[in-house]
Amino acid sequence: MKGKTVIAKPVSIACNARCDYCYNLTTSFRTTKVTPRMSVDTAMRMQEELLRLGYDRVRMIWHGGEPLLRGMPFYAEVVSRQEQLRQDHPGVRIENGMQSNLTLLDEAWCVFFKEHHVVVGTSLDGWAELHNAHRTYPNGSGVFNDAMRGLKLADQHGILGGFIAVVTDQTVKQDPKVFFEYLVSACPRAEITPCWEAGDDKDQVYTVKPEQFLPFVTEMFDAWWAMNDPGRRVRMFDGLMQALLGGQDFTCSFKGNCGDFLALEADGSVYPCGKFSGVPEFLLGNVNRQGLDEILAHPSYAEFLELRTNLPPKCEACRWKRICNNGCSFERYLGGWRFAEVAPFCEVWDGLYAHVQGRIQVLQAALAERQA
Amino acid sequence: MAGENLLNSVLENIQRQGPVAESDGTYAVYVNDYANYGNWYDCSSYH
Repeated sequence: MKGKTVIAKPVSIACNARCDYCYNLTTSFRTTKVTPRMSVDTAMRMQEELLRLGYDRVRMIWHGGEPLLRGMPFYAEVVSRQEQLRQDHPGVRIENGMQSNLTLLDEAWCVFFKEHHVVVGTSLDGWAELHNAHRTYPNGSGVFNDAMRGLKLADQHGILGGFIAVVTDQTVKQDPKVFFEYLVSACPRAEITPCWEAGDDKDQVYTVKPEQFLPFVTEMFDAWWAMNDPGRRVRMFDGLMQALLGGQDFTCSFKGNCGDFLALEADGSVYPCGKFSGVPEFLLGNVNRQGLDEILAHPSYAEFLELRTNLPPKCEACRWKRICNNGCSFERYLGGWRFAEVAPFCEVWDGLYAHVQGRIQVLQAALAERQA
Repeated sequence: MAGENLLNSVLENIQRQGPVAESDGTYAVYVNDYANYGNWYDCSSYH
């Protein structure tokens, strides 16, 4: 199979919330100012081009901004035309997912998503105080109550994939075990990510420092380990264990290639990744005016992909090279095609991998002794 | 034993995924990927 996941931004960065740490708004080198609405033709043009180039698995992840703002008629026409594409191209897989703050989710959306197999992911940074510390509406009021209502509704309808919890300056002041237990009680498929800024903006009040994140995430892992319940998963830990045990991590940050993804802006602009969407030096072309083969042949695309394969000496010599792959390129970005040499959370991954490997080794030894 | 069920679950998942089918060198597709997460998208660093 040959596939691509497209981070599609149907309303560009338009959003009904104004989270202070939003990567769309905070980085100085992102120039997206206008928020056009994607046409159905633009959305379909990308999918048709992928099929034309021989991709037989296309995942559209409707992203934002807040993708529900685009309204149901847009998505209804998209899924209708996707059905025609499937009939025209037997054997291809065309799938839809969405990342939404879920504050606008209602019964009608849930029924629609269920019918069309759209899995939604969302954000939940913890309990109300934590979530509202950074996730607010433009008037400053917190979005927690609406987000939680949407999360529960999505869960009731069986369309909730999971959620991402951003670990901020406020989170690391909490008990990691209490935080972990809250997350997996809200939804059994959680993900955590440290709040970080690329470029020169990394010292914002909301960011978490590696020396804060390592002890916090390590204690969170131990809480997961002690709970010992495969029905409650933290994707970072799950992927890490999978990589340490001979499999492969399944999140893009650690897989070692960025070629799985493309980003489609509302106006048809194509970028190599959603995190770089709107950063002018990463613009590859426009699907409304060019063939995707021409867009992917842009020299910047090859250069971008090589960021994950041409590792610096520190990574080449690192025992975790195969597992870490120097992390997410965006987190290393300094602006002007300059990148920090190693991941800003290098010491965190080094410490966490060693900790988890230690836990696995002790457990495997105990299991071997029990069997002897 | 702490972690035992998690370890078994992860090992089963690796087994279930089967071999990586390389296609154009940029996309690794497993026989049964995203087994535990459905089609939840796999970029984790957004905020």
